[in-house]
Amino acid sequence: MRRRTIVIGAGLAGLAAAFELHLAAQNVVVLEASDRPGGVVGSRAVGGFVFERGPHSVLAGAAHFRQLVEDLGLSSRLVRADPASHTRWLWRHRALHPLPASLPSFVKTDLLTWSGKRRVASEPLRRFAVPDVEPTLGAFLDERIGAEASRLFGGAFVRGVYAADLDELGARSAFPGMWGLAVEHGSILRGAVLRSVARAIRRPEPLPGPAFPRSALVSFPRGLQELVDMLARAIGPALRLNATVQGLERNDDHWLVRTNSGGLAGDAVVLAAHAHTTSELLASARVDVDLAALRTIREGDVTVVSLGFDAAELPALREGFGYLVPPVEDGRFAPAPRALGSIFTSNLFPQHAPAGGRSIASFYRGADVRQLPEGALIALAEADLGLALGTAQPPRACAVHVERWTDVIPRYAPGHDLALAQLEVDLAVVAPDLALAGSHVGGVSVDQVIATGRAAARALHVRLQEERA
Amino acid sequence: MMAVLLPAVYATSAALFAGAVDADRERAARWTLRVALVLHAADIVLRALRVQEFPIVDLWTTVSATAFSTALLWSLVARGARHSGSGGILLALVAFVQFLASSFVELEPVARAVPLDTLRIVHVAMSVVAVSALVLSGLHGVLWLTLFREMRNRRFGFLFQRLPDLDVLSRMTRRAALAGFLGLTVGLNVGIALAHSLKSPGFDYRHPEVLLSLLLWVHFGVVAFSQLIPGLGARRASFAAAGGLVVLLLSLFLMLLPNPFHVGA
Repeated sequence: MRRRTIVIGAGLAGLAAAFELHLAAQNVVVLEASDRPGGVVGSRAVGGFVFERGPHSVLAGAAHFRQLVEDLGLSSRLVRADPASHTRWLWRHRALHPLPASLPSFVKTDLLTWSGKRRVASEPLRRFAVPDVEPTLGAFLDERIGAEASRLFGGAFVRGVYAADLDELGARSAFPGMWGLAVEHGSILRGAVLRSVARAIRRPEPLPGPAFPRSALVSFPRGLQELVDMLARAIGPALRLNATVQGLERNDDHWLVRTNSGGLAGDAVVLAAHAHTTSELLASARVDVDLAALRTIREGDVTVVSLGFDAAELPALREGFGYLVPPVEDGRFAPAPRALGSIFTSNLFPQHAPAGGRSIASFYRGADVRQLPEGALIALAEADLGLALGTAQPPRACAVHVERWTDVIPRYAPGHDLALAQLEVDLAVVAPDLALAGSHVGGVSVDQVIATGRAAARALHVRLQEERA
Repeated sequence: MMAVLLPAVYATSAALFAGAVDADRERAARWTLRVALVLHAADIVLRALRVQEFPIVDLWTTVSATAFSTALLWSLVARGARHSGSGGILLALVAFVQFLASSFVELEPVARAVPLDTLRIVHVAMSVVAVSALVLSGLHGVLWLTLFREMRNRRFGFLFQRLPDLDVLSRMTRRAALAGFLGLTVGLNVGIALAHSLKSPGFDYRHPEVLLSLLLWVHFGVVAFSQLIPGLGARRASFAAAGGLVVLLLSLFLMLLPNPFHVGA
């Protein structure tokens, strides 16, 4: 008899886990509390526009994403972002400025003072001393590139990725790659250059599907919903929507999942829900592990306001990817957009807007903004866009979509990585037939979330096979 | 001279904060506030030296000390939040309160008939700090509600442009409430201990003044820790902080009425 694995949560991690088990011909059931799979990943078509609910694109060099897309037979559907849209903008001194993308542009930029530039340039000359305790990302970057560049560039980037402040995150936990460069090479910049050289020499394995540059951004003609739809189709009837998990019990050699429609027994469980839900379920199952890594994790609220315009309404729309608003410009001195930043989505993927249409997506953080009525959020995003583009009157959108997310982006505080690693080690001992997946486990990017799902499924599959043997 | 100078410097710093649209102007506003605080502190110290005792001796010296404490606490809370957008409004209120205090305070300081002992000084000083912090918390709660209303009604005018984000305002509300909660914890306990040790006639936990003070303590404790209380979001916490202002004013009014165990300021 095929053993059954229950996947709790049909976000991208849960779907990827279920798909992996499906490929291994395992009996799998996926339980999702909401009425649609995909979690924060998905798209909506409104008036000819494709609006993303959460993430808007994925790096073409994201290996786990590319492999999943290939396994699903979707590689031919991948579309690359317009190469002309690579310019990123930053709000500073009451206007948008292009982010320096090369050494000459860094030297010329008005975004930093000369002393700020000197501090960044001296980073490779100052060897990084690994502290005993993981510093916050703010402290780490302040030390490496100076407070000016840290707060401006680092602050804006972190708001764009985590919807958080620099001092809320642990340097190693939130950006292990950058931390690794500093530890291994004594400097972030030196390490980055050496890594680029090494990659150029070694030439990494080609990824499946179209040969896009690894730094390019990709999506699908109908948005990332295509990925979710294909995963859901592959999993088939094993995906049960509107199935709220109310508790988890362990009876001898199997698990019992209590849902709003009854109990469900399984031999293994993948917990791919929110960190706090996962923690509650593990507590209800009386799994004897320290759950602090899950309980203490803070997850941010994000509201995405997507707007579609007639091109004539947005004559001042810049070229490029979009803009970020750094924390020091939070309206402290002068009017500034309230958004964390905006993506000029139709610049990236013209196919996501009808002919003669332009679209943008603005991101807002916090539970407070989330409470605003939809009309107010739209007006706020329009006002922000008018301010950012320097138009006398805010542009008026002809198509809108508002998505409010609660507890959606985990913020890895200092020490999170070690606490989580310990939790996974403990779980492997006391509950080897249970695995964790999701953004709180291995990173917040689409690629990392897919990786956690597939890795969790593979680990369980191996363990189930060993048990059978 | 201080009577004229203090409200004028506070008012100037309020105007500068309200009009600060770049880093230079904000720096000027911050320096003006520092000057006001130093002058005010010097005034309090000089009064203490002249009366040779704790300088809060009557209603108007209490009001003046509260204005000083409010301005100082605001500068700390704003620094913690990295945002001075509420400075124009808050410091305008401080300037007005100091104007009233300067108008009525005795120019020639008068000493108390019986100087305060250390415990009483702690009780009075912590109560002043607590009242200032609770006023700050309440006003930031009002600002949160005002900004939310402005945004809900799609008005993105002066207030929207000057005030910090809603989450920053709610953080400032909570931090000020925490300062008030801690100040009240010390002030109340010392006051109650004093009442017991001196066997103050008429002291009773059921006395409206004591009850209101305890209610304030619990109320702002809830506001301070609202983030940890399920179901108590920023909006409810702001309503609670703003409502706490009313309780605070009532409590201060009761303190002014004669009662057997408390002679007010």
